Amino acid sequence: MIDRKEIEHLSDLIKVELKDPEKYIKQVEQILNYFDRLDAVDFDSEETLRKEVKIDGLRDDKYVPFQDNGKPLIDKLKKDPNNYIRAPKMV
Amino acid sequence: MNLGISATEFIAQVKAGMISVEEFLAQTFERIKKIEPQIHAFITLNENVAMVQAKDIDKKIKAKEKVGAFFGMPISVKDNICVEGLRTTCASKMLDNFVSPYDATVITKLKSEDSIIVGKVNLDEFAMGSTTEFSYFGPTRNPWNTEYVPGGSSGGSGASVSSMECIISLGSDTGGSVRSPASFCSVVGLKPTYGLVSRYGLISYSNSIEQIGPIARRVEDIALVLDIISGEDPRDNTTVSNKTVGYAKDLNAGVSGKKIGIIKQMTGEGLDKEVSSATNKAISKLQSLGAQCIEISLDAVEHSVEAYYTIASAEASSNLARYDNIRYGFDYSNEGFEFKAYISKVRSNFGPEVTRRMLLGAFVLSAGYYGKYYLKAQKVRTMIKSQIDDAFKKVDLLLCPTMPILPFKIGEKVDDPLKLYLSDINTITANLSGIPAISVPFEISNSGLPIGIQLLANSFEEKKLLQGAYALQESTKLQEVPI
Amino acid sequence: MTKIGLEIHCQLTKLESKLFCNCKADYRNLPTNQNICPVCVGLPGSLPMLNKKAVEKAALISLALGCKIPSKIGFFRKNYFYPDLPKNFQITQYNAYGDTSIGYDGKIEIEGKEIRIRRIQLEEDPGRLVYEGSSQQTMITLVDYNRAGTPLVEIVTEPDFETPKQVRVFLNVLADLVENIGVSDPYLEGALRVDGNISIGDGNRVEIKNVGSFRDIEKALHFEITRQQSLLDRNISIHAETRHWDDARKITVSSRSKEEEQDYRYLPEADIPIVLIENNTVTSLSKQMPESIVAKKERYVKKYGIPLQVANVLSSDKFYSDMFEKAHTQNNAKEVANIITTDLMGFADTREKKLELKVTPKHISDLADAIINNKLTRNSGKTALQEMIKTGKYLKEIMSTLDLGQVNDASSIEQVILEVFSEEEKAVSEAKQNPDTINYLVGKVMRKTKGKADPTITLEIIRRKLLS
Ligand SMILES: [Zn+2]
Repeated sequence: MIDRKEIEHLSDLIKVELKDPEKYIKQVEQILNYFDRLDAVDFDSEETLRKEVKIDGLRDDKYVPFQDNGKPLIDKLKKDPNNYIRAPKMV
Repeated sequence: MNLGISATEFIAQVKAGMISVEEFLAQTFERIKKIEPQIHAFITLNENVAMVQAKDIDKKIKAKEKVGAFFGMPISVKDNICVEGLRTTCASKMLDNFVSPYDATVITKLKSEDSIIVGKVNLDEFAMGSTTEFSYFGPTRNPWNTEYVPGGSSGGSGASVSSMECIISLGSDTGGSVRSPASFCSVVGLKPTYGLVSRYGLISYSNSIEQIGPIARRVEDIALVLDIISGEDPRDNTTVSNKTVGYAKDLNAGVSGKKIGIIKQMTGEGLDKEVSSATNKAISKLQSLGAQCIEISLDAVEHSVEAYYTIASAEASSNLARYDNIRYGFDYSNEGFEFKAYISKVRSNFGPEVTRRMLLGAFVLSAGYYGKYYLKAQKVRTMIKSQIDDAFKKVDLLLCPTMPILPFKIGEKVDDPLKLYLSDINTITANLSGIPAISVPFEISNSGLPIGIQLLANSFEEKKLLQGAYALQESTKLQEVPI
Repeated sequence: MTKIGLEIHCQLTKLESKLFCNCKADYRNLPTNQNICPVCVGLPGSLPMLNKKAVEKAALISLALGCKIPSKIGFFRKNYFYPDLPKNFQITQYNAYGDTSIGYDGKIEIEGKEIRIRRIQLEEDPGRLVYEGSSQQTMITLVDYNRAGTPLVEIVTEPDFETPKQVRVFLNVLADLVENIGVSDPYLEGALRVDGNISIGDGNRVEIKNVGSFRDIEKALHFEITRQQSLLDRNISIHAETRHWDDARKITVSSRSKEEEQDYRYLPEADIPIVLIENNTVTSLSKQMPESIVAKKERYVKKYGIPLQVANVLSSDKFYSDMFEKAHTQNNAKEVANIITTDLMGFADTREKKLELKVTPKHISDLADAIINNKLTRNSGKTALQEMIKTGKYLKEIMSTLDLGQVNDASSIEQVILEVFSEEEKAVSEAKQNPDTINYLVGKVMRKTKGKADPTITLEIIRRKLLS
């Protein structure tokens, strides 16, 4: 099930160049086989453990600028002299 | 000066003028420098700032000014919790020089009570692991035997508290990451109820199940920290308002008349012999204190390992997507690169365990597989929680050994991920169901390795949990850490 | 048979803060990367805090478009890597695992045609990419995250449109609607963005993206129909693809990359709890819901007798219908509507001009009252309005300085008529033969009085004089 092509597809999805794909093929396959034990789960419930809030429990719409000792956050990031973040282009 | 005093003792002695904060901190750093080459608990030390704060607090005490409840207590912080102005690396090359511009909510709270952060401690990269071997900065060693792993992922927290490099540490627990090192290093570690402690500033790995939790040498110290760090946070919408206060009060209520359920699936076969006999001993101790112990079966936990790793991997693959080295990260110019080529290259600096989990996560979330994996794993959570709810109709607390095995040697299991995953079996139940759990040091094996016992309570029943843990702690007297 | 569906992104520009943090929702005209915080720039450890008002505004849009609102809404992560996406996932809503987006199954009628709304979802806008120099020369893109995390509502229609014209009409109605219910200012650049999909006959569906302006979608759809039709005519099958609108060349171009095959690996956003939308929330939102444009138009016609044409124009313009609401009384409503639609709207027709307009409801109401009480002729009214636009002065002041008061005392008007009759003997005898030419004489009187003579009285006296 997990072959070279699949592991390359997965590594493309997570955007990680794999140095040793063969090692990952074996390990990922072994773990996924173990995950297949979930097939035996037969439990039907719509319930989830997620918290539910009423709309009043949400944040009020207020503008509060981020303050870090008066310095703008951009100064802490990688930026060019014009305060832009430089990213490689999507081709 | 005894660096091994409890938090309660530290506060009392500073208040009474018996010790000065400056002197205590100076000796703390002296010890850190002496034993760090053997232990390697710390990634970053905060000595200069800490010493200034210590002097400042001493001054305030002398001037009879108001001082926060922790009176300059030295604490260490797992390096996946943001502290303003300090490097926060997650033990990853990807955040090697990331300095947080803000404090996690738990840090804001601890600072406002005059705690002193002595440094940031080691972990498995992005908290993925249970041995602290998967750190970009190298493994932390177990203070009880430096050939052995300290547990993980909060191995730096467990080792730094155990070896008296600080009094308290903050760790994070996604699948046992606070309790495993607590057990392996013979200290106390609590995973609070999901939503009791704010995660704002905790760098996410598996955000639907993880919590920040304290590690200390004494149960009463855990209660003190919980009093400060718990509570609803306007920066974390998953926190809940909880009216319980005063976790440190009535700790010695005892277990007389209490019902304790022994989890069948976690105390039977597969346990190390010494772990098994320590567990039986703990049960008899509690019985002799008046507790009634009955067996409880939670058959849903049969699926907990696959459910846990499905959810954790899925969430990890999404949570770690942001590390593309463009807005922050290590120095590596992106000029001349195409976007995908650049990020795939820089992201190859993630370690093997993180990469493995991201691959698994991408697989289980792929189109068409959601129902087979993620949704099923969520059903397991509901199923476990419903069995746990049933159990707590019959008992006050649940009990099992924290780890089914004794600490093992560094390097022994590093290449067998599935085997490592399976050793989380006893701890992940609390994470999947959201309930609180604590590991209490209970015995030292013949080979001199610690064994911890885990107690679990229903959601938001930390008070009851701490009372049980205190009784267990008081029922045994353990030898001192050899380092 | 042509089938067109739309995906419209509408910014909630009327909010103060972003969708998940307290940074400003209005990112426009701010210095580069100065409207950011750990949350919206995705710093490690930050968590999203959902904006309550954004949920309410999105629910309002859903109600206005006839959608169902579920009792629980949830958020998902859409995972893909892009330089404008600080977390490399977008927090959005998703209905494949159950209806949890803020609205679904709606419909709206456009010129007798029903357009079904598939779903409405609340999500965050990404940052903005700026290309340095010519985009061919450099491999670098500059990113400004001021916009990142601002609240966006995506409206997805079923493929119910048959012509690009229907699309245009729908978008105009939608723009009026979001303005009318106070969720967005559709005239702000980028506030309303449209992607389309189109299929002809049995052909495959083609997505059209990157349509910069709202108006270009019609052009893009026309181009696509022609292109696909000509392929069909030559028996060439149309394959499913995404095409980008090339604004410079006004054509659609096939996307080179295979990003369409993306697997977004949707994942529930566990940092945001499930939000309960209780019945009373929906009820109170429905009450808050301003009158629909159609209802407003009907009210204008029925209650005030405003002509349909005028009511149409007035009701669909939020700015001027608001002005009308404040200026009118039962008595002067028709006149107020008339002044706004014939004189004022033509003058201030853009957002900027509207914002700078010195004319208030009081100006218009004074003016309308003066006209219906015969204190001012319509003609002088126009002059007065010009002055109001220019100076912002009130009518009283304008009337005294410009001497615009209507002359309605019969004897002074008769005096002027006598003068005109003596100067225009020929016209007078002509008018006696042919009453249709009487207006010429009225006009002369008006000119002599600078338009101030009451036209009704003037006409009556002239008629009487001609008979005698
Ligand atoms: Zn922000």
